[in-house]
Amino acid sequence: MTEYEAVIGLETHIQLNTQSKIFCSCKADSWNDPPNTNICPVCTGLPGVLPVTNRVVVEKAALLAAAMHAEIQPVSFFDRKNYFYPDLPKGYQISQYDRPLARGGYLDVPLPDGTTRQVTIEKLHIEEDAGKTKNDNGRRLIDFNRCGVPLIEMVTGPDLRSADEAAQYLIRLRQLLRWLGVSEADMEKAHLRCDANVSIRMVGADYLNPKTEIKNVNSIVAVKEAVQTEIERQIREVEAGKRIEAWTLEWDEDAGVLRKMRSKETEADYRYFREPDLLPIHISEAWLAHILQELPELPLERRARFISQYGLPEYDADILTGERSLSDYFEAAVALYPSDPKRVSNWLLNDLMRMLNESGKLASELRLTPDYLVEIIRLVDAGTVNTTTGKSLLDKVEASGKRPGEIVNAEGLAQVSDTGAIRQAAQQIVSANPEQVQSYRKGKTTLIGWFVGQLMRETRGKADPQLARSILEELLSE
Amino acid sequence: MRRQGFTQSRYVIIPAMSLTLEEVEHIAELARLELTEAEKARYREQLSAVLDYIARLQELDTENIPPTSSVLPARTPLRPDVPRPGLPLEELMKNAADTEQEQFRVPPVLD
Amino acid sequence: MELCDLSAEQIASLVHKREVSAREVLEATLNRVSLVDGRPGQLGIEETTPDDEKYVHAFISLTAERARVQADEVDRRLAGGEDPGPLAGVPFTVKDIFVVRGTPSTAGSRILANFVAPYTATPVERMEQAGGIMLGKVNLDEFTYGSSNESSAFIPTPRNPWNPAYVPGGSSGGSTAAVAAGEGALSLGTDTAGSIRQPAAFCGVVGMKPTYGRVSRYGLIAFGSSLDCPGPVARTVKDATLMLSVIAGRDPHDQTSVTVPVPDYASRLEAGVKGLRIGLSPDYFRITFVDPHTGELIERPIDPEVLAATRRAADVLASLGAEIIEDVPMPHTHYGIPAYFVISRVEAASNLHRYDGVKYGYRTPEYVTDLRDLYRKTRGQGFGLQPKLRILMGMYVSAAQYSEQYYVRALRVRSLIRRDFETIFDPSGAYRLDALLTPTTPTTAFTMQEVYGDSVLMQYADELTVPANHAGVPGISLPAGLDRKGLPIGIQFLGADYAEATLLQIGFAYEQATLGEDWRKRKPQVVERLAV
Repeated sequence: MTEYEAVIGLETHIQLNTQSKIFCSCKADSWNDPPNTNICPVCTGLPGVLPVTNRVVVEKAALLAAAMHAEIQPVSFFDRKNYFYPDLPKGYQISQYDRPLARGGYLDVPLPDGTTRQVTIEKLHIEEDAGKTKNDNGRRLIDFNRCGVPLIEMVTGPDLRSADEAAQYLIRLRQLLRWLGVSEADMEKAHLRCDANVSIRMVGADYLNPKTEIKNVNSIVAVKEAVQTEIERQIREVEAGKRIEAWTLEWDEDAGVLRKMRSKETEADYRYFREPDLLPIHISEAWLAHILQELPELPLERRARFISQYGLPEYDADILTGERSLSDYFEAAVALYPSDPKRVSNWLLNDLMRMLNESGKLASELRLTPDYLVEIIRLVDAGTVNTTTGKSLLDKVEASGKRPGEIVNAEGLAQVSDTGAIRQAAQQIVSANPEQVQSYRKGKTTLIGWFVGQLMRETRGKADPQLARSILEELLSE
Repeated sequence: MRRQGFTQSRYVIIPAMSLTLEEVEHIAELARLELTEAEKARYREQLSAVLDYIARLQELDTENIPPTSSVLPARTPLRPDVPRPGLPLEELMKNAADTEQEQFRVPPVLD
Repeated sequence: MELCDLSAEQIASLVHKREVSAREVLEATLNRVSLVDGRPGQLGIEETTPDDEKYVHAFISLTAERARVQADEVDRRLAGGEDPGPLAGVPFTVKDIFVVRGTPSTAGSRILANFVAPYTATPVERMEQAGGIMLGKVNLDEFTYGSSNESSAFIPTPRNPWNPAYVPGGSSGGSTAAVAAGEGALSLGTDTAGSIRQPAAFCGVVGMKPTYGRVSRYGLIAFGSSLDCPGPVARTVKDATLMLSVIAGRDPHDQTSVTVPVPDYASRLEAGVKGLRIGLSPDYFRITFVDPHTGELIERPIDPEVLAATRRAADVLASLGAEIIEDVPMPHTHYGIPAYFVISRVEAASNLHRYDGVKYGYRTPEYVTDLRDLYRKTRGQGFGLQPKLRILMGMYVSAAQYSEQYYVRALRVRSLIRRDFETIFDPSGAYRLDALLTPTTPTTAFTMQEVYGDSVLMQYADELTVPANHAGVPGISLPAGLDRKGLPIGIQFLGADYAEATLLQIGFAYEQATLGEDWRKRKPQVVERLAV
């Protein structure tokens, strides 16, 4: 039964990571702060106050718009969206309506099957966040900390075709937001919020059926599950001959079910009009050029370049471009070690990633700089230390901040390639373990590994393992 | 629903009671204003008169005239992104009628 | 002459020279208040008494103790050799539409009656920092919605000091009445359609609406945000100049406050009018309105005495060397009020959304079932007639299905009105005016109750002032005589963007040239009475 396809559009709200709020100087991020501690006359809507736009909000929004390939407008306007709700202290939200900051745009989302889905952007504008209300025995308590936190509202076209694709879009969007440094993009902390519009139709059809809107999904996994659940429900309904109604649904993550929310009486009329308290946003060419200086190579572009320029497998390129700091680290390391990018990638994927995961640091925050990493790889290449010592050096450099070469010298970690010293140690081991020697000589040659291990232990890992093995084989075969 | 207050010649406006009571009630509900019956009647009359009066605006040809939402041709500096402490909670809450646990409190939301 | 009747300039000068103390000036002014003001406007008064009809009732809150502390501080600083600033010791009042930290900031409305602001409006702060002494907050039309001051929830409402049977005009009627009666030399008002200039004309004082954006709106409780302008009310042009110099200028709290440098207004004050081109427009000599009974659109010449005073002023200026340009067309003048009815209501309805009984202000004492019920009852009981009317009107015309027909159209008409001004002030255009001279109002003050309650009729009072608000250009109203009833007549000069200096210069020349005229020797009734 594959004759149906899903048609999904996502409406996202992205909290920009500015220091202060959009229209006043209160601290923007109130995560874990007690209620009503980051508020002032402006964001609580006292009589007589006026908004003043935060310059960096415009800059971050423009940066995101540019990264979404949207057209940044030289002049855009703020509008008032009027409605009554207690978390909205002015009784209107300052938003953008018919003349938003940017128009158009798209995000290319690589799909696991190797194809790419181009997701168009229908709307991208700046607005202020509202406060939070919570239930208190039927009544509601209101916390205004979040009022005036800068948001970008970004709405996709109905371009996604499965729950997986919806999840992939969010993963790529989150990656991009962090890459640009415009948002922490943490869904659990509501830095990135998502509502999904879902409908189904026969495969190949070009019309749109009535859609439902799923609200309050606060993780990518939840979006995927909620959308999948809804697609299945809609197929069941249609199969049973029922019509899909334009419900608003709420995802209950614990129960794994969608609940119907109270339907809005009618389409609300927000009576938008130009915000008279703010001047239009003029983005001059000079300012735009200044903003775009900050526009980095985007993750998907860099991913493609890593494949073509460094000959990396897609898997490596994908992981290395998952996060900007890691990919910058890789490039810096490769610049110092241009002969074998794949070898650098292996060190990053196998070892550096482990260190990052364990420490929770960004690659840029490591004391083990790309320079030091390459030094370690070269020490191994040159046989100065063996691979095991090389890997142990990673943590030692990180812990001490010292150069790898310095640590090798100070701790005497250089590989022992002196035949005499190894032979002496080998002879000791052979004479101290007559039983094993006996077994070996009787044909259990796999014991060579055990002998090498003993020797490495004896030399505290410094012996050149190849040399050790050949000397041991020689002694044992006597 | 659309009423036409301005008809006939350019200078005569029909002073019809052009807004219905239901319309007044509907707007009042949108505006969250509880009105007495007397107020509704009075506002209906006043609003109708005003609507008739502003129908004059239809006389002008504004086809190619851009709307002026702000008279300021000026540009002014935006604010630097520097956080500053706001006001103490007590200062901002002292005027509130009902507070609880350092938050503003309102009755349940039923719609 | 009592200290409270001196001009701000004279007071500041005497105080600076320490010939009188700020405290002495303050006490003289407080004494005047006690003699002429009667009981302050307050909630819960249903009817005024015959005794009330003799007094001005400018105040809602008299902050005498706060003022004494400030006056003593000014005196202390002077004694210590410091300069407290250009307004040293000058008592002033503030229209109660500005918030002042620690004082009730009511907007003349029940819904804000108990609101004590935690911050101070920028223009008030600047006046206090310049050494001015705030006497208190004066009455106004509720949320500034009116032209007579009768819509305040705080009763008794202000009366005209020249004849308390008449309205002081509005909405800055408390400000103009106070200044006329010697209750403070200066007052901070606001002008959205004429709310400084119209009551200034009615009360025989100087009132100026600066260019939009010239004076910060931070702390001004908003009415029509794209039209609202704070501005000075004073008894002389020099005082208005002094006050404007203090309050004008960029404020980082108001993004619509401009960075255009503030010129030295005083330096050009005595430059005269020789060679200045001053226009007269027949479009300002008539008003049009709808007859409430027949619905007919009526065109009527303005009050002949007002017209005559305007023409006399033109003659005076001509005699001083100004070039008078007759028949300047201002074809969209009479669309100002209908466009204003739309634009200001849309903005006002939105600006009034925040009054919901949750964060501050009135909250219904009645039982409520839910949030919506709380909103409906709080707003229904907290707002008076005028705010409700404006909210309903604003909601109606900004509804999506009507917004193009009403709101957007009104904004287009606004462009036409602005073009009228751009054309006449264009330095390379046909008229090249430095100012347009007009009557401030079509009539002198009307009696209490005469038009109150009829929104359309009430608005005629603003017909000649509102175009400047649409266009954003500055305007000043000056006293230009008294009519047969002994009520003041006001004339208005309108100028190009940021041409305040020119308007003050012309106003000063006119004022100086007419200083000897008989009517200038007359005093408002409530002040005259004190001498008897």
